[in-house]
Amino acid sequence: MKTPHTLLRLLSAAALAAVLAHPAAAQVDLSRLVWIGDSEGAGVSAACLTKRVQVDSPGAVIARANGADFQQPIINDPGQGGCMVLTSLAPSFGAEPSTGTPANLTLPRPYNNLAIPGCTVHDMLYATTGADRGGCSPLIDLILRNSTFKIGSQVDQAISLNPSFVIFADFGNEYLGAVTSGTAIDGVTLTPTASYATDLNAALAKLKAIQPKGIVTGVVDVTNIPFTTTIPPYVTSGGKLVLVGGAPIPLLGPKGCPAGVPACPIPNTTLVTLAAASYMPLGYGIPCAVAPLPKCNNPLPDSSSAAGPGVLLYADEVTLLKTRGAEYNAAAKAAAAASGYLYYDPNDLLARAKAGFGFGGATVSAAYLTGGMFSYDAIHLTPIGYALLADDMIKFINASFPASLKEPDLSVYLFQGGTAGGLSGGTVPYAWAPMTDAEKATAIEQIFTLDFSSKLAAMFPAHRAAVSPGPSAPVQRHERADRTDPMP
Amino acid sequence: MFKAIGTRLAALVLVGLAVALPAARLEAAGFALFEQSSKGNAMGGAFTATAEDPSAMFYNPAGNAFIDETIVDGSLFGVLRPTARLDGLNPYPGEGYSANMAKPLYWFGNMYAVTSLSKDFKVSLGMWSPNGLGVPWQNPDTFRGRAIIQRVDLRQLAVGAQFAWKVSDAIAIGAGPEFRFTDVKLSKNVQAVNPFTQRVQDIAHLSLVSTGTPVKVTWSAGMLLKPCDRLRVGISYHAHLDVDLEGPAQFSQIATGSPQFDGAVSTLLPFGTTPTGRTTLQFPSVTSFGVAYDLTPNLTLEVDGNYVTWKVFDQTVIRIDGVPDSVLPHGWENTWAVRAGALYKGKKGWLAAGFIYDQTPQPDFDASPFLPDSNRTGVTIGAGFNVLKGVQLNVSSLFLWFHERTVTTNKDSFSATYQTFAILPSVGMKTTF
Repeated sequence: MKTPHTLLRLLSAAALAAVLAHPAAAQVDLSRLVWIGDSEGAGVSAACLTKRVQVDSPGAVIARANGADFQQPIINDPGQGGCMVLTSLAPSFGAEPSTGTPANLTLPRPYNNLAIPGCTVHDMLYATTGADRGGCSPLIDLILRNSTFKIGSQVDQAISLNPSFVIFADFGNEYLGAVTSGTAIDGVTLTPTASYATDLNAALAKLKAIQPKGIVTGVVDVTNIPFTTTIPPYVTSGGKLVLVGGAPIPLLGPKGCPAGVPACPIPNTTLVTLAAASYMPLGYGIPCAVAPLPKCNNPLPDSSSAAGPGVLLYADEVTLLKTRGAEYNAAAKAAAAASGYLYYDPNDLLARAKAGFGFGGATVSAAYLTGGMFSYDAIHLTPIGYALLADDMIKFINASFPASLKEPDLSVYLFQGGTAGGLSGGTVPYAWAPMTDAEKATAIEQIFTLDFSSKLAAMFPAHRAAVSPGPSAPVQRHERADRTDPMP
Repeated sequence: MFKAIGTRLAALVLVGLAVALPAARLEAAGFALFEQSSKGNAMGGAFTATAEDPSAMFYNPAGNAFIDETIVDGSLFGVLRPTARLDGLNPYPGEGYSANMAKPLYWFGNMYAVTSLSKDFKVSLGMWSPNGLGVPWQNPDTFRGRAIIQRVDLRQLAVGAQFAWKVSDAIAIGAGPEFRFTDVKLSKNVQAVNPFTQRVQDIAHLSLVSTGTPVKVTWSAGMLLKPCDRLRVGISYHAHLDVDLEGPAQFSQIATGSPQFDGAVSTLLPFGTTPTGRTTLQFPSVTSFGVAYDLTPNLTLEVDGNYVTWKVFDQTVIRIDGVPDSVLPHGWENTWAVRAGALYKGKKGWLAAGFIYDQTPQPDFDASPFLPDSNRTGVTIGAGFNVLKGVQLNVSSLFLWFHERTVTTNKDSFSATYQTFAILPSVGMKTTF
C-alpha cells in the first residue's frame, strides 16, 4: 500500500515543480493585449498610416508572434497622410494620394491598438474626439469611434476591454514638435515635466486598477534620431567635409551674429534638422565663397515662421531637449514603479540600432535611407524597425516578468519588407525620376557613406567592418529635396 | 617472387594515387583531422601508445623505432553525411526554416613509408591531411545564411620526414619536420538595404580562392616508453602553425531591380576587377597522451587523451586590396578529446573497435553556418586481412554523432539547431617488404 502513496506524492511533487519551473506562460497573457500610444504604436511610416505597414505595427508583431488577436483601425492603402515615395537617390521624394479608407470600422468593440498619431500622454488620458483631440491626429475619430461607443479616451477604451496586458507607449510627442519646428521653447513646444508626470501617473493609476501587468515606455531622445543627426553642421561636398586650411566650414545661421550681419557660422554643437534639405540646395546656410548659389550667405532659419519650420537647434536648445527627455524618463520610471508596470527604455534599442544589428550577415541600422530601420520621414520606423522594436520588447518582457513569449520571425521583414510588403508593397505605381550623372555621383557619395561602403566591401563582417577614415572625415548624408525656394 | 613484388607495387601505386588526389575534409572537432590510418581509426584514434605501423608518423613518431621491416602503408577515407542540417529559430532565420548541407563525396588519404637506417635508427616519409573543412550549403542562392557563407572548403596536406631512435628496448623517441600545403575557397553573398524597397537584398556575390600552395614548415615529435612487457606509454606532439594565404577576390554584382541602387552599388564594390585577398589561418598544436596495455598477447587496450590548442584560432583578419579589413572573431578554446580502443591480432589479420568523445572548441557566439561545430561522440570498427604475403588489406569506419546544438547567441544573430551525423569509411593497404 505504501508504494502507490509514495508514487502519488512523487508525482504531485513533480507536477508542482513543473508548474513552479514554468510560471512564465501564466504570467503574461496577451489574449487581450492593448496598446496605448502615438504614431509609432499606430504604425506610421514615411509620414502616413497605411494598411501595408499597420499590419506590422509593434503591437501587431508581438500579438501575431504569440497567436493573439489584435484588432487595429486599419486604413486601406494608399493610406492617410500621403506616403512618401523615394523617387531618386538624389534623393527626392514623391507622395502617394491620401485617400485610404477605414477597413475595420465596424468592429463592435474598441481596437486593441488604440495608438493615435500625434498624441501626448495628456491626450492619451483625456482626448476623446476630434473636438478635444489636443495634439492627436484627426484620425482620432476613426480610431476611438466615440460617436458610437461614447467610452472616452485611449485609456478609457483600454480599460473597457478588460485588458490582459497593457503597453503604454508614449515615445515623446511632448517635445518632438520642438525638433520638427526647430524651435525649443519650454511650455510652448515642450510640455513641462510636471504636467507629463501628473498625466502619466493618473493614466497608470487608472490602468493598474483594471490590469496590474504592463509596461510603460520612456520617450526617445529626439536629438538622436535621423531627423536630427543626418545633416552635419558643416558644408559638405560629395559626402565629405569641405576643408579650408584643414578646418571644416560651418553652415550659416542667424544666432550670435554681430550687429548688421544676418548670417554667421553656427557652432559645431548645433543640430541641423532634415528640414534644412529644403533650403540648402538654394544656398541657405552656405557661404558664397564656397558655393555661389542664389541664396548663399543667407542663414538657415532658426525658428519657425510663416515661411516654414526652423531647422537649427543651437546648443542651449539641444541641452534643453536632452535634459527634458531625461526628466520625462525619470518621471516615467517613477510612475512605472508606483504603478507596478515595468519601465522600457527605447533609447537602449536606439543606441544599439545606431551601431547596427547583424542578421545572417546583413546589417540593418538607424542610418537614414540605407539603414532599413527608419522610414523616409526620419522619425518613424519601417516594418523592419517596428519588428525589431517588437522583438526587443518581447525580450524585455521575457526577461523582466519573466515570461516565455515567442519572438517574431524577422526574415519576412528583412527580405520582404514586412508581412504585407511594407511601403514598397503598395499598389500605387510611381515613376522613378532618372538621375543625371552629376546627381548620381552626389547621391552615391552623400547617401552611401564611407561607413556604408565599408560594410559592403567587407568580406566577412561579423557585424561591422572596421573603417579606416579617409583624408577628410566621413560625414553623414546631406539631404537634398526639391529645388523650389521655401523662403518668401 | 616477381609476381608478389608486382602486386605490392600495384597496391602502392593505387594508394599513392589516392593520397595525391586533392581532397580533404573534417572530422575531429574544429577542423582538425584525426583519422590518419585505417588501423588507428579502427581503434578510435587511440593509437599513441600502440603506434605499431608507419602511421606512427602522425600518432607517435617514436613508434617507428620499433619497426624493423620496410613498410609502406596507406589509407583512403571517405566522408558521408547522411544528416547535416540546421533548423532555424526566431527571430532569425525563423522557425520552420531548415537547410541541409549538400552531399558531395569528400575524401582524403594518407601514405607512410618506414625503413631502417640501422638496428635502432629508422627513417620515415609520409603524407597525411591534418586539417580539412567542407561546408557546402544546398541552394546557396536562397540559403538564409548566404551572407555569412555559402560554401567554404579548407584543405591541408602534410608531408613529413622523421627519424626514430630506439634508445633502449624500453624507450624510443622520434621527431621530424612537417611541410604543410594549404588552400582555401570561400563564397558568399553580400547584402544591403535597398533604399527604394526598404528591404535587405543581395547585391553581390563574393568568391575568394587562394592561389598557389603556400608551404609552411612545422614539426612533430614523440616518445614511447615500455616500462614492462605489457604496458606502453606514449606522448606525441605536432606543433602549431600559421599559414598565410592569398588569392583573387572576385565580386559579381547581383541586380536588385532598382537601377539607381544598382548603379550606386556598382561604384562601391570592385566589380570587374580581382583585387588580392589575404588572410592568415592559425592551426593548433596537438599533444596526445596514450596508455596501452596488452591484456593478452593478442588483445590490447588503449586509452588516449588529445589536447588541442584551439585558442590560437582567436580571430581571422581578411584583407582585400582597396577595401577595409574584415575581422572575424572566433574566440575558440583549447580542448580535450578522449579516445579508447581495443585491438585483437590474429594470424590472419586484426580486429579493432574504438570510442571517441571530442569536445568542440567553438563558443556559442562563433557557431554559425560558417562552421557549425559541436561536441562529438563516435564509435569505430575495423579489420585487417592478410591477403597476400606481406600485403594487408585494412578497412575501418567511424560513426560520428555530432551532439545536437542549439545556438541563439551567436555573432551573426543566426539562431538555429544543428544536427549532423557522419560516417567515415576507409580502406587501406599495408605492404611489408
